[in-house]
Amino acid sequence: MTLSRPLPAGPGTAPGPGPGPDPDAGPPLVSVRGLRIATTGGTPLVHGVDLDLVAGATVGIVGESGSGKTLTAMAVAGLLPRGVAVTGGRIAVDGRDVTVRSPAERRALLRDTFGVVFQNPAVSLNPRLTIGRQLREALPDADRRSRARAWRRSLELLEHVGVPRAAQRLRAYPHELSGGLNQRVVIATAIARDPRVLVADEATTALDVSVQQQVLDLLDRLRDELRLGVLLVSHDIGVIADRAGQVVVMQDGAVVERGGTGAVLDRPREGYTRRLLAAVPRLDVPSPAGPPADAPVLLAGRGLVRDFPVAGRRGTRLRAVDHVDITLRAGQALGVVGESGSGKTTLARILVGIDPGHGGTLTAFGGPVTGRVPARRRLLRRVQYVFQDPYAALDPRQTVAESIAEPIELAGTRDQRDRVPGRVAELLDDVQLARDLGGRRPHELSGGQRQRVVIARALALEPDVLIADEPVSALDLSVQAGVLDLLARLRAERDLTYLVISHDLAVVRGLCTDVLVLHDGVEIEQGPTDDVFTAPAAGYTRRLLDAVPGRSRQGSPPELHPAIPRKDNP
Amino acid sequence: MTAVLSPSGPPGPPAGAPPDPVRPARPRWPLSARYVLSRLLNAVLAVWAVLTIVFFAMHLTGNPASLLLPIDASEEEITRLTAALGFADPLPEQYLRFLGQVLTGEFPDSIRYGGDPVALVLERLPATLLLGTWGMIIGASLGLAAGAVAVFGRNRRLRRVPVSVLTALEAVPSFFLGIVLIAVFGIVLSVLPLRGAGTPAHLVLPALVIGLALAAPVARVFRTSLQEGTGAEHVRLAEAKGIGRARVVLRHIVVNALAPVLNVLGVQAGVVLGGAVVTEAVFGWPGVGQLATSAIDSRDFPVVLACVALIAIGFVLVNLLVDLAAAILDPRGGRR
Amino acid sequence: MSALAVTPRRRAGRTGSLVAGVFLGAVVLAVVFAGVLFPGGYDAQDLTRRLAEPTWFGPLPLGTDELGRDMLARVLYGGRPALGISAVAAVLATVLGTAAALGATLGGRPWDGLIGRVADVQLAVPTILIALVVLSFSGSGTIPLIGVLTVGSWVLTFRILRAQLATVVALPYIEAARLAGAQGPTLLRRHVLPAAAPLLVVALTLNFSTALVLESSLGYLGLGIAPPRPDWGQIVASGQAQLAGAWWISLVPGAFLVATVVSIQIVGDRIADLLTLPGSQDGTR
Repeated sequence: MTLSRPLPAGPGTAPGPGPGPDPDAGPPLVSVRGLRIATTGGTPLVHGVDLDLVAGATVGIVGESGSGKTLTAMAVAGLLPRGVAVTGGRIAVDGRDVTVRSPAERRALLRDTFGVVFQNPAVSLNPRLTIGRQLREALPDADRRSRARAWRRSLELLEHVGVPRAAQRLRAYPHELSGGLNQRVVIATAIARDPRVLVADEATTALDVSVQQQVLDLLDRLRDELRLGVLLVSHDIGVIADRAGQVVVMQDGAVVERGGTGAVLDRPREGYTRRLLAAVPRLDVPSPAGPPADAPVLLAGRGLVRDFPVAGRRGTRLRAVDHVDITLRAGQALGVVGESGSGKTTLARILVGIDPGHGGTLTAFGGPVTGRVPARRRLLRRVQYVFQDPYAALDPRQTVAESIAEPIELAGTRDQRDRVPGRVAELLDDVQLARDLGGRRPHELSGGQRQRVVIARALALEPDVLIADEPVSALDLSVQAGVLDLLARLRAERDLTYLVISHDLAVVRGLCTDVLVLHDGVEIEQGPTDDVFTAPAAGYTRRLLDAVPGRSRQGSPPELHPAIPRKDNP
Repeated sequence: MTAVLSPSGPPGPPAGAPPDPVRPARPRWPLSARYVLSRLLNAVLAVWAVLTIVFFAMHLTGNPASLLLPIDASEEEITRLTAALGFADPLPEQYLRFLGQVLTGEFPDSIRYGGDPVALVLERLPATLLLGTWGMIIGASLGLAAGAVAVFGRNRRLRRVPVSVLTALEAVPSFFLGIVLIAVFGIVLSVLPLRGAGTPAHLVLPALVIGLALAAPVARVFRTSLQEGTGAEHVRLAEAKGIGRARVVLRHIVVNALAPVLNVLGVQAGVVLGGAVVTEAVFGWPGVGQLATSAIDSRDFPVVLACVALIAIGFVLVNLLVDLAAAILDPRGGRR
Repeated sequence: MSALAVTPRRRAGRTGSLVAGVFLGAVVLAVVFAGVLFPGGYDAQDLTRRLAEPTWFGPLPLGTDELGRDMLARVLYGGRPALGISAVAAVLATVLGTAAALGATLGGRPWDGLIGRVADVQLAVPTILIALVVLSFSGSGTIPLIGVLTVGSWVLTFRILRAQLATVVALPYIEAARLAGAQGPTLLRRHVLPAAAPLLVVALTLNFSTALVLESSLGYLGLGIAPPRPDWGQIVASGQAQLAGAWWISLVPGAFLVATVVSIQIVGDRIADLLTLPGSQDGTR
């Protein structure tokens, strides 16, 4: 990203993460007292939230799914979805209570005060209209009415939020731009009316870490340049830690704890906050030690290649995996990290034999793996797979016990088949699920329970190698920690060898002995986790590590945190 | 994969001077020439495929010569007529001749009327076009209105009624619906003519029958895509921009919901054409459909073929137009 | 847009579907046992009772036609070709459509492309046109009628099922089952077909009702079962000329037809609802 203009050295621009509120700054820009939200049916969703936001500062709201953090932010901006309404409390903007005004008055006030950025840039823009037309809609009336003025102002806005070739982009449709660019366009629409407050609801969750960093930097810059109050809603404590001066921790529709970000995160007072923080995977922990160098090689890929046709462009092919070498030794836990589109999942699918790939050789347990998919799977029977989305990885029509028993019935030895019920019970014990859950169907389980069932099924045939594709990315933080603990324990107890795909570097740091970094299908570097994470050899790895949010709070080698402003992605 | 289409890459400072920032850019034409060409090619292929199916359906199902002659006709007579009609020639030769007839529009003479079947069909065409167009207009308006009421209606219970009524009427076969309408409006109320053509009053009932067959699927699809639209995030963003509710609804929900409706209209064009055949029979409407039915009655197969070829071409043309219109409404489709 | 969005779904409650089921059962039984109920056949003329109005609950409940024939007998006998031909065609179309969908889903890219293309072309020819061509060249008869109705219905089944199967097959749990060792028939039996079962029922009943509508439309046009054998569409056509004087000849058999079509759809949707998992919206999750 380019900071096209120098930051103004205004009084409100403190370096580092958002400044705390200045006690002498006068009345807060936005003041929320005792906010209550309920469905029109009467189910309470948020009970009594207090919140203050001053100009030039960022307040973070953090919480797990269902905590009411998004509803709170949307209520403040006057954008609650239909069927949900504010039932009590006071929302004041500049000391004026907006809840007592007529709907039209309120909307006019809110429209000029708030800009909103939503979670998923891919669906935040109307696919049918060009960027220019959508930006024009957001402009103040005076600018919007004249075609020439609207165009000039839109151009300025796009350049302001760091969209290159802005004139050309105004004529583009959203599907022609990347997620990061679309999110910049959304931010441009949010600041089009010179609002006083920016509400960002999980605004970077759908983006890769390096893009996330750029977009968050942009929000920081706009906050400082335009003296905006920023309300940053996120499930990611790292993002909040880096960017917010004040934080509000929410759980089940209520505020658990609030205060300066540093104080709350370093010295949490409440048990819930402590548990939440303890569940955050950390980048500064030592990784488990790997096996000796002469441990037998279980899986080895040489020069693996996989191409995909590009939709809408006949003849063009995208190389998802580009001549990757990979070796998995007994006792290793190899983490494969990379951003979306890096080819990490494709690589895992080749290694487990459900994708034959287009080139290279694969050997497993000393023998070559060739042929079509069913043949490959026979050779790779001792390799099992844990899926990313536990909601979709279980047949909704099968009970838990049936799902776990299926591999044994279909591919087990005679001995195993003879004692299926006993084996299912053991496996449920192994993944710490109550045995009576065996009769349930997936829709009766929580996300964490489902992922445990998926793991139990993968263990059913007593594999040597477990390949886990983003095993915790669909889960809430506290559930995540439990599943990661389980994976670590199983590896120790059963001498399992792991291949873990993850976009989350901290997950790999805690679980894996070795790491392989992929970018655009090409191997960037490979080595023991501790070495790669503390002294990355490749610039790409360094940038990836540097972009991980939350590093400001965690200890890390000093050379990764230069005092000078962070260098942006070249 | 977005990365391939548009390098997201970290933006560098714009190289060189930016283009003239004062003049607004011209809007882009939403269809690429390549897309239009590929649709055209597709349409030609579809016509060819339809004609081929018709040809082989015809030849799989027997020799019309035996149907044309009295039941007690001798073997020899049948053979002679078969040869005279060209059915004794090798199949590929007949197939090529048939394609040639379609290309040149020169079918063998009508057995019953003696003249050029294409002229006969063209003479009836305006009546069918009139009926089909009005049927489409009525069906689309009823369907769109019912779908919109189902989503934007204020009374939660009443707003479902129009779509339910249309869905219920859909189960009534066109011919019977026509007869019931004749009974009610023509006989009991005596406000509309029973059958025939000539005045606008004659058009009302047959166009309504065709429209009602079309309205229910249009209503359901419109309702579904409106519902998806009201919950869409881009609509919330539009609301956050502070533009008026009416504008949000029209620009971001309604127009976006029209593309799937157009696709349904294309698929249902077959229903309209098929409905026209039946409806013309019910109301004695002098169009192509009625010509086809009476030609079948009199085993006048050159006329049958000309009718079928023309209806098929019309169907493919309607679908071509629908494809292009839908692509204009949804730029993701039209630029490839 | 899914193919399902185009097809109607009738959400009838328990009572509604019970009524529909009882009506459908009664009509089928009466049609099957028409020979027992009316041993005199459909053609027993009695010129002394020409054009008698329906008495509903008395003798000659549906009245008589211009030849004094009992309309109830004609309606019940007329249901034989209507229901019989449509049912056979619906089963054939469902089997054909399902087989095509399975072939396209599991057979790999070339089969998928080929079958999809054939379906597209087939869809580009309005069914009524195929019917006109075939029936004009072959003459009307049971076999050509069944053929035409089957050809006209299989594409819808194919499209609905193909879309559903494509969704199901792409779900990770199918891949998980493959990894667990399930292949071909095992995979189909354990995971794919159960997920498609509700739609299969919807497709079968939908085919039945569309085939019935098409069959009676052809009958109305004079392309169906040839007289003297009665057929619903054909009876409706024969009564149209006397609509002003003897409305029942046309309207009563037509009402039977409509009630049967609606009942079939309601019963089908009810069965599909019962087969759909609790807690899932579309049967895939």
